[in-house]
Amino acid sequence: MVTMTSPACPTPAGRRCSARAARSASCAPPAGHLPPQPHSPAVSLCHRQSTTNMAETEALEYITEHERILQEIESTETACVGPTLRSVYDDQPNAHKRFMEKLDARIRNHDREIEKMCNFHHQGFVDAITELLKVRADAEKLMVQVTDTNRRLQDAGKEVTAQTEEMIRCRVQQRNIATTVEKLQLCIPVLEMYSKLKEQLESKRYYAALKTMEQLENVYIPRVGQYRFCQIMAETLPKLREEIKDISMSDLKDFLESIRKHSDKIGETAMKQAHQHRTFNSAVQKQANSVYCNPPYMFNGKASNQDNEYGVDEDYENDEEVLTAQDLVDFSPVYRCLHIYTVLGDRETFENYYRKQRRKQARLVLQPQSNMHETVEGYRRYFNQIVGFFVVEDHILHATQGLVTRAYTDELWSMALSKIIAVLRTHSSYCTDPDLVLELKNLIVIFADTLQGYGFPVNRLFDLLFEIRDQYNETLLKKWAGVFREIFESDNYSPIPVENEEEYKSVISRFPFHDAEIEKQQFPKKLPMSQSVPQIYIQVKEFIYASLKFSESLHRSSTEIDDMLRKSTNLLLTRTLSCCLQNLIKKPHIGLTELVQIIINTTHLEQACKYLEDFITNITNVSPETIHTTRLYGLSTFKDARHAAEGEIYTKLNQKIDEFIQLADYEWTMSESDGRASGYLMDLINFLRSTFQVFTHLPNNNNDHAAMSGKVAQTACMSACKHLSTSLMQMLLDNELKQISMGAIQQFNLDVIQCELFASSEPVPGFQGDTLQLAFIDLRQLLDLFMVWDWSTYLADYGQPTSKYLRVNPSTALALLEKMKDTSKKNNIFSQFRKNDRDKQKLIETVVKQLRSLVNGMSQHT
Amino acid sequence: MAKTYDYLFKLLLIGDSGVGKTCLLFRFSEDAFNTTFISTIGIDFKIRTIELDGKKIKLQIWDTAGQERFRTITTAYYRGAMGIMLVYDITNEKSFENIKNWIRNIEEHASSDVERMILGNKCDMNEKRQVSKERGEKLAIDYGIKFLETSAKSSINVEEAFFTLARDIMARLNRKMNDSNVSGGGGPVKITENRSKKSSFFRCTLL
Repeated sequence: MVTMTSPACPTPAGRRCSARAARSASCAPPAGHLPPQPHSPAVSLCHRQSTTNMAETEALEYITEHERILQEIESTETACVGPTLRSVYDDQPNAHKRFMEKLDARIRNHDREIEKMCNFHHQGFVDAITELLKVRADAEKLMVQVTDTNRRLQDAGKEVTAQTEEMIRCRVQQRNIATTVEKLQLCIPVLEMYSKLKEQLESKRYYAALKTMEQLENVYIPRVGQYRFCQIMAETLPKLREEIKDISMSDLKDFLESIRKHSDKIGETAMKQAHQHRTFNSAVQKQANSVYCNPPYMFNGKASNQDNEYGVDEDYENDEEVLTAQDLVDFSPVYRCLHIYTVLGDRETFENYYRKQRRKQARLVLQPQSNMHETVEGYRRYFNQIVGFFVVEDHILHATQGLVTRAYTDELWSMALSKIIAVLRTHSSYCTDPDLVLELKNLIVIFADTLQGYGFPVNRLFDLLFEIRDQYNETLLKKWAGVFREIFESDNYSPIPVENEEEYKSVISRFPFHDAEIEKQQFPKKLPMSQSVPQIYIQVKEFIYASLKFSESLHRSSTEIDDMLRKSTNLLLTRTLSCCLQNLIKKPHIGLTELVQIIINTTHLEQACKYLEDFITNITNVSPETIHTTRLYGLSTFKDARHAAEGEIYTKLNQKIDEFIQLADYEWTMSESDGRASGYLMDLINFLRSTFQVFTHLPNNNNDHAAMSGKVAQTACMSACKHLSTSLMQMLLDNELKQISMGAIQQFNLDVIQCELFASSEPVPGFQGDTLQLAFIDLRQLLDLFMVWDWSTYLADYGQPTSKYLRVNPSTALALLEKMKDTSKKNNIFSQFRKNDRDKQKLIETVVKQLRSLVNGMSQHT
Repeated sequence: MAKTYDYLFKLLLIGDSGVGKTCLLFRFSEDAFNTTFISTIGIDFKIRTIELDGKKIKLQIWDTAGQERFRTITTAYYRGAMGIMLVYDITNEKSFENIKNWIRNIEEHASSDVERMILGNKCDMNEKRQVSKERGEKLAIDYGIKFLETSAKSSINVEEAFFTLARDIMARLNRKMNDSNVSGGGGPVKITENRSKKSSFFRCTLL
């Protein structure tokens, strides 16, 4: 507001004024910190009062104005002085002079005031200086004291400082240790786990090791993952896992190897147990049975021999601990390996590997040794192996979850079964020893039972057993063929002599023979059959026992067994025995007498057949009246054999006749016979005579046997005569024989007469009339025709039933006549000149023509 | 009917039961052996053709039952026999002693010019021997008969025995031929083509 009212004017007065003001201002600070305001009003008050006093004379207006500017200059700062001073110059042209005056007045005023003030404070100032001087000394003293104190303090503090620094260092150390401990505490579990892992690996506790690894990986290592050792550790773990995998796999391989080695033993144990179980059951059953009935038969001391194979420790079976597969083989490698692979997430690989290996093993196990069929041990080993294999599989199936599945084992079993059946089929077919087949059967039964116990289907094995049964029967048949052959070979084909009652009973006990007449006879006597009969009978029974043996423990009904026994017995009778008999009959050293004895023997064996039926019925308890039972065909066998023997007698006789005929040495061109029969024919007749004599006078040829052999003798005699007749006829009509003289016909006639004499002499009793002679009737009529030269009768009566020469065939007559004609021709040098001979020749030619026409007519007819 | 032989010799085997007559015959005719003892009942024969000096000879060998009860049947065959084998068992003293009886039988029933031979059979069973070879020899010499020890089982001297007998018969026959003493009856029949023709021509001229 001042500024606005008084324009500043930079005058030297103004400059002086401001300089003074500046001086006073600069003087102020040394005077102390006194505030300038109270001084300033006081000054201005004084100044105003003086001004008012001087200006009362001058115009009032100017006075006030200058007063205000002065105040303004005094109170404002120098910067604003200019405008204020200007305002002084602007107002009036002489105003500044007055202002100057005013200003001077004012300065004088102030100087006076300063002087006055200085005078007032001078003493105080001096006193103050004095005081100050005094203080200066004290201050110096204090200064020394303070310095000293400070120095001493410094000395004393040095120790403290050192201690403090030590302290700080310790503290830092302490803190570091704490941190380390903390960190180490985190690491220790990792290391502990790791060392545990190592330990586990070393002690082969791989599964635990894997668990440890998992913990390590999931829990421990992440906590301290930043450390290098942890990283290394983490890197090592997968390697360790692989290692474990490898190790467990190799353990598995060892296991597989050991299981292969032990499956034999496992199988054996399993089979043994199954067998014991069975024997126990059947023993219980037997005990139950024996209450009601005694066993119908004894295996002639061989009974239950086969039980001993496995039944050695039967008595101890209760005491014996039941050994299972696990007891024999340590399965832990499989479990472990399975666990390990499961944990490692590679279970499938393991499963596949395991199954593949086992399949391979199965194949090995199922491959039998090539000489298996030679011994029962071979078979046993084979079965043991297989049982062992499947027991292990079964165990694995139940003990592990899904390592093998039911479907897998079933498939494996079915494969095995096919293979086993094929193998057994092949090998059993090599077998020629029925005992071995029987043992094989027992083994198969136990084998099947054992595996059935483990839940494997074994029906096909039982089917196989049927096949093997057939084979068994075949081998039995073969064996018995040998037995029969031996019996027949050692027989002497003469009736069994019995000296006393004891011997008689001994024979009767072996063979069912009842003959009231023979029983009545005095000792010593002879039984009609030879020693082979009771032997054969006993052997047939033995065969039935042997055949029965196979059916044991086959779980078959008695009807089936009965049927089987009957069938196999029939085979024995109709095939083996029949064949043996047929062979025997054809043997060269079996003569006529032996053949007769064989005929008698077969009769007795035939009669014994019904006892064999009873025998089978006794064994099986199946009534023979049951509709479906097969009958024994023994009757036919013996009948056939008898017929064969009879046939053989005829053949043998005929052969003998042929041998004699070969010795015949007719001189066909002889003109006249010497009136005696030929030597060979006499020998032949004598031979026949003595042979039939022996036939019909065989010892003990009484009653029915005599009738029987008598009939055979009759037939034989008839057959011999017929054969002789035919042979003689053939000799006569032989194509190579070109000419026959009448003398030769006469000689031949003499021989035929001998034959007829023989026929009529009843060489065998019981022929009706001249039955036997009829054998030679053809020869007789032919010879008569030629001897009588009765051609007219022959030709006239030809074709009539009453003809004397009814049995002379025109072609036969023609053939013989041609030979006679030739003889005549040969002698025609002489005959030409003899009329008689010419006539004879003509007659012959006529007869020949007639005969030819008859022969042609016959052939036309036919 | 072409003749298959030149001569027919009828031989007879006699001796006690069980000395092995049938076996000797079986060995000679079939070259086989059967251990079973089957007593011959009555009589049987076998024919075997052999060759001697280029001649085919049929040997019809009669095998008789040794048992006494068949004696009537068997003696009937003595007469036709041209050679007789007397067989004993070297392991059976009795059968050797009985040879004398058999010789008496021959003298009684056979033709006087029958060729004979003694055989000690079963010489393979030396360990059971009861009759020494020397005794056999001596007996044979006493009767002026040839002797051989044989074994049908081991096939020892069987062929030799029969061939010797056949040869002796042949020799006797030749002697007779030379003497031109054709004997009838049970004598041997020579039936060669040659002779037949000759005789027939001879007879023709006679007519």
